[in-house]
Amino acid sequence: MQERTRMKRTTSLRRDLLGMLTEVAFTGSLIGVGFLICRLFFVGR
Amino acid sequence: MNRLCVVLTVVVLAVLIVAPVPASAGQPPLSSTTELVEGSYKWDGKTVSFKGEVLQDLMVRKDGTWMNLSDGNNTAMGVFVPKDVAMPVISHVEDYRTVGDVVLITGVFHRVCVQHEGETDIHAVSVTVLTPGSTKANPIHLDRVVWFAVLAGLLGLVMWLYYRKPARGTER
Amino acid sequence: MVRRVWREDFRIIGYYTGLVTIGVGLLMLVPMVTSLVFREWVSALDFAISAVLTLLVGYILALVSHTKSTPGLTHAMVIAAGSWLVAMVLSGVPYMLSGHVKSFLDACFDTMSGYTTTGLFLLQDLDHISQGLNMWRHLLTYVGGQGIVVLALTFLIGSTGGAFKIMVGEGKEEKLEPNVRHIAVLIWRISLIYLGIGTVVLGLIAMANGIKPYLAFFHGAYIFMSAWSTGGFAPYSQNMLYYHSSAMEIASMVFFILGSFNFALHYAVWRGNRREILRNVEIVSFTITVLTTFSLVCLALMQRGVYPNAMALFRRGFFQLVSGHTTTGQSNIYARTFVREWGPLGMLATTIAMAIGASAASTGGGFKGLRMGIIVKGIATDIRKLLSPERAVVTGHYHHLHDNILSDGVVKSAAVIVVLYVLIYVVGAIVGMAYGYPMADALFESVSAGSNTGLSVGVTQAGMPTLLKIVYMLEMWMGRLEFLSVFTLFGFIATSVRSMRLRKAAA
Repeated sequence: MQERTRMKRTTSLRRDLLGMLTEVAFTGSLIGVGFLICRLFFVGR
Repeated sequence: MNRLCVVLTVVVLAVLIVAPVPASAGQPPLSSTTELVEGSYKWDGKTVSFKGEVLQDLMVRKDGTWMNLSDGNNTAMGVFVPKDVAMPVISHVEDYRTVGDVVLITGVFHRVCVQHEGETDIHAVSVTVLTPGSTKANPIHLDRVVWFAVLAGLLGLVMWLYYRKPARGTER
Repeated sequence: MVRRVWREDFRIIGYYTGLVTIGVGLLMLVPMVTSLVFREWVSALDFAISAVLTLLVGYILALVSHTKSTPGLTHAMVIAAGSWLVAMVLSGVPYMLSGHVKSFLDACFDTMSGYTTTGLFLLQDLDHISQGLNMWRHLLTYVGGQGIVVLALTFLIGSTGGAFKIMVGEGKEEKLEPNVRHIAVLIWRISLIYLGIGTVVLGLIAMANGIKPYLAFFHGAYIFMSAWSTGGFAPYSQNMLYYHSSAMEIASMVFFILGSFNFALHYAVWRGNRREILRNVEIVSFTITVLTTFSLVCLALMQRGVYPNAMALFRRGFFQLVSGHTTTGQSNIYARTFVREWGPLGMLATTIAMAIGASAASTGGGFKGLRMGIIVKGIATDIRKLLSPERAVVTGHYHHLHDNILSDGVVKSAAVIVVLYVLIYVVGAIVGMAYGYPMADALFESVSAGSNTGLSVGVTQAGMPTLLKIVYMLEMWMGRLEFLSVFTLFGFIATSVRSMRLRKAAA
């Protein structure tokens, strides 16, 4: 019984972590695109 | 007549040479955050003087030190002091209990500093401490202690009344 | 509201408002302890007085109105709106005691701004307040973002259907789980985990930038709370300019973008449904509108030659625009710089971004990406219907956690709320212009208040007209509660007055 709850907690933590990383990765990409847009505006100057 | 003219000329020259030159002669104009921000295009690249109280965090970085100088109600300016500029010892920084050193700097104002990715800042060329800081008095007022005691007493009474109901949450 | 108001109604409202007030009083212990830690004795005493006063009011309310009845939907909405007002007033006491506000109205303005996660402020001499007061300001936005009500739910009320209804009054309508307590715990868990991580990350960055370690983590906490709650306060008047650190700004930006996401989305992604982040209509809408408004901003800035290179354009332009769009309100340029250098197009693009705002059921404001997405899709579907053969059945869909049908009812609800938001934006702008402020400034500031953003062009000052202060406060309040709760409160008051008159006539 304890084994199962420990397994559940680890999977739950792992899911949390992956969820967090997904969100942060998405946000980082959005910021990256913003930066690229800036570079684009300065192309050729 | 000629001798009088010569004597006068010598006296005038002597006065001009010997008399102390006022400190502000040749010093860049004293500016404020408001003036600089409102006139950012006008002051961009110019050398200015700026005076303010050193705010709490003096940030020493690789290539210099950042100071934030407060010069009024909700106005403060970031001043960058490059490594090669002499930085005097700042004895006090702003705190709830301390008044920070008031510092006078001269430096170049940047509307959009290229080195600092578009920041509005001043790069200091000279830094001097005008008024060293001090500890504030901040006395505790007795009437506030009394207020606290009275309110705490009342609260105690009300809480006792609230929690002494036979089983909190049961109502006939 | 076409019924009579009975004494029991007042008891329910009074009791639950009392409980929320007790929560606020307990919250004041945090800044009190902060002041004690920094040996700010006067400030600590101010918070002790405020806490005791607030707890006193809360307990008196709860004692006098004690009831076992569960709140209905109407009660819940009135409680949400009412407790907001009570909290606003009592939370202003520390400000008054600090001597940093010019009037009690100004104190209420700041607390309303804090709880609604707006970020406009009338506080005088921000650079010289105590750590305790700074902790309080930032804590207000963090808690406000979570909803004062969810706070009360978690700690003070047992699980009941009534509690769920209070939360609906708050504007967070997502049906996450059937059990209310479970929802509250979930919201808090995600927020607290990010609070921990955020404080550490921002604290480390602050330290690396030269701030002393014991102060660095307070800065980290303040900036995180400001970012995650999309509030926009900062411990010093220079806002993010104080730190002179692009790392600090980018980290904060990550947190305020995350804070602007729907809590239901966080839940879905954390539960394993990671693809949701790419399919969700709000995220798609947000991405499109951010990049569009930002391109407009870049156009404006390039035309005026404001920034000399891509790095400066990115660091100042992108940060400001995204701060506006997520309705955060942190800034790394001076307010007057924004007005004078960005110019009308830059200001307009930012205004539009703020007006649209963040996702629903998040800490952000504006009329929300969900409604933007629904309305745009609604228009697209209508066009398709027009172009399709008469007998074809055309149904629109939008993806939000799962696939949803774009019914006329859905589109209408979205449109009604958008119209209400635009109405308060415009009314606020008109009042500003009536006092002589230029149109661009008046509109910007009004939208900033109504969308709970907090970017300012300098209109918000202690010396501004009193009526304008009140107008902005109403905008902040209505914008945060998304109208329903506020309308219900006014309706309730009107009905109570009518009921009392009827009873008097009958007697």
